[in-house]
This record gives sequence, C-alpha cells and structure tokens, in this order.
Amino acid sequence: MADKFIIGGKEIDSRLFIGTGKFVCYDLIPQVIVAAKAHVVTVALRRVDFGNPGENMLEYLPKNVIVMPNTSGARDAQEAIRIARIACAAGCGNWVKIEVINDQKYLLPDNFETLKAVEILVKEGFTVLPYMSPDLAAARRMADAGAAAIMPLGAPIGTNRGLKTRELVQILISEINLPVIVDAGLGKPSEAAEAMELGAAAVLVNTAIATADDPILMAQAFGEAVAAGRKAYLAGPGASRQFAEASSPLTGFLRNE
Amino acid sequence: MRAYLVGKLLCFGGMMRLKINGAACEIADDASIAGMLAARNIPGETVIILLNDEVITREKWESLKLRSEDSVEIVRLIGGG
Repeated sequence: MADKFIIGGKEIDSRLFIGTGKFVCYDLIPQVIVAAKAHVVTVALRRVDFGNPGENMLEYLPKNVIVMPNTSGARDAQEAIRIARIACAAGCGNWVKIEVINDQKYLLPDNFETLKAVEILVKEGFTVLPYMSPDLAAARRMADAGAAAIMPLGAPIGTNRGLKTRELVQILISEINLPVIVDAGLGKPSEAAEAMELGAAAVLVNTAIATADDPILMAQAFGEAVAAGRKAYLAGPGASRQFAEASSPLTGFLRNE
Repeated sequence: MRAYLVGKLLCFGGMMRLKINGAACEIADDASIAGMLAARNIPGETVIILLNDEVITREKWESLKLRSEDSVEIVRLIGGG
C-alpha cells in the first residue's frame, strides 16, 4: 500500500518542509528546495524597510511548491489572524502556519492564543497548521477545532538542539489523529530521522540547513534522513533489550568441550 | 498651497496626513499608491499594499485616491521558518 501523506485533502510529496529564513542570499533557496525534494515551504510577512526594499521572495520559489506563510511577529491570536488574512488576500493560498510568540528569550509559542487563532481561521476556510508547545490537552483542542496537522517544537527555534521534547512528541503521535510535524530545533539529519522513526508525519527544518557550511548538501542530507526515518518507522524496528541476545544459535560451536 | 518634491518632480498642491507602515506622514493630497512607491524607490513587483487593512491589487495603484487619516501598509514576503 502506498505511503500517502495528506494534509487538508492535498497529497504532499515530501515529508521535509523547508523554512526560508536565514539564508545568506535568496539564490540558495530554490537549490535547497530541489536538493531536499521539498514540497512545502514557509515564508514570513514583514513591513518593507524603505532603506532596503528587498527582492520578491516568490520569484525564488519553484512553481510546484506549496507556499505556507507563517504568522511570525504575531503576539496574540488577533495579530496572527490578521497576518493570515493578509497573506491569503495577497495570493499566498489558504495554507497558514500559526506562530504566536510573546516570549522573546526562548521564542516558545503561546498555545492559548494559538488555539484561538486556529478556531477562527479554520472557520474562514484556511488549512491551519499550528506551531505549538507539545502539550496533549492543547493539541487535542487544536485538533477538535479543525487544525489540519499539529506542529510541536523539537527544541527552541534556531537552537539546533535536536528532539529535546521527544517524550512529549511521542505522546502526541500516539494520541492525536492528525499528522504530527516536528517543527523547530532539529539541528542534524539524524535528529530529523529520529523524529520520523518515532512516527512523526514530517519535519520542518530551517536554521540547520540555512546556517550549514553547505546548505545545499545539508538539504540533501536532511531529505535522505527524513526518507530513511520514515522507512524505518514503516519497517517496524525490533525491540530494544537490556541484556544481550546472540545473533546465532548457542549450539554447534566448533570447540572442544 | 505648497511646493514639494515627489522624487525629482516638483509639485504644487495641498498635503494630507496619513500613516505609512505605522508612522505618521504628510504626503501630497493627490498622491497615488504608485506615486508613493516611486517616491521611495520601491519596485511594485516586490510588495503587497494594504489600505486600511484591505489588500489593494496593482491595477488600482494609480487610480485609487488616498485620503487623510488613511493607514497604508507596504509589506513583502521574506524568508521565514
């Protein structure tokens, strides 16, 4: 049976989502997307700096990718909802990653405000993917409100610290009947593979790729790790044991007794 | 009536107050969105324009009349995670 990955009724061709922040130049982004074989890409919305108007990000994104604006900068539900509506009206489609952060030290998401934004944006027809702290009660409420997936953090944004929330993410995977996409904090392909081996539906990676010495090669590595981790999950890993168990029978040894 | 520059163009007319990207500004009372972008050397292809929280599509940028106390947001998509 084919291993389909569906979000909001749409089949997604890659379980590696790519964030487009922190790249030294936009030219790298299409190459990274191709190397990673990514299908979903996140972007952000900001006021123009009149001293440095910048380029059009959309020109650098391949036509076949799904562009998912995030609501970064939002400090509460109302600000997130406003950003989502603006991005949609500007032609970004109806996918949105809700990101509500009012903690500047750890950039941890506010689950309460995120839930409020989920409830309203789902009713307005958005495909809503909330970035959240891995809390089972909050995830259940977001799922009940119609979120298309749940995106718990692995570690704080930009830290490259890996799957620090492993135990809680594992609980969400077990209990929430939606794709669980680990977002933020994954620093190495092995950590992305770890999340996939647990049963995550996908991962979202930005800093680890954008700040690598060779972002294109790192994107390829992440793509392969995500695919490998998914295969490992589907293959059903054997149990781990406390004591050793020999690989061959303990009989017929070539030795004098 | 005042004389003022819009880019390198010398204009004569009244002024009006409105907000651009959250900051209070004074611009010519017959200014258009297109003119406002040109005065700031902002290529139209790179931006999204909001007028009083409503997205204004490009074909209206010349013709739409800005009014005193309007709030204009000039935003763009950038990299983000």
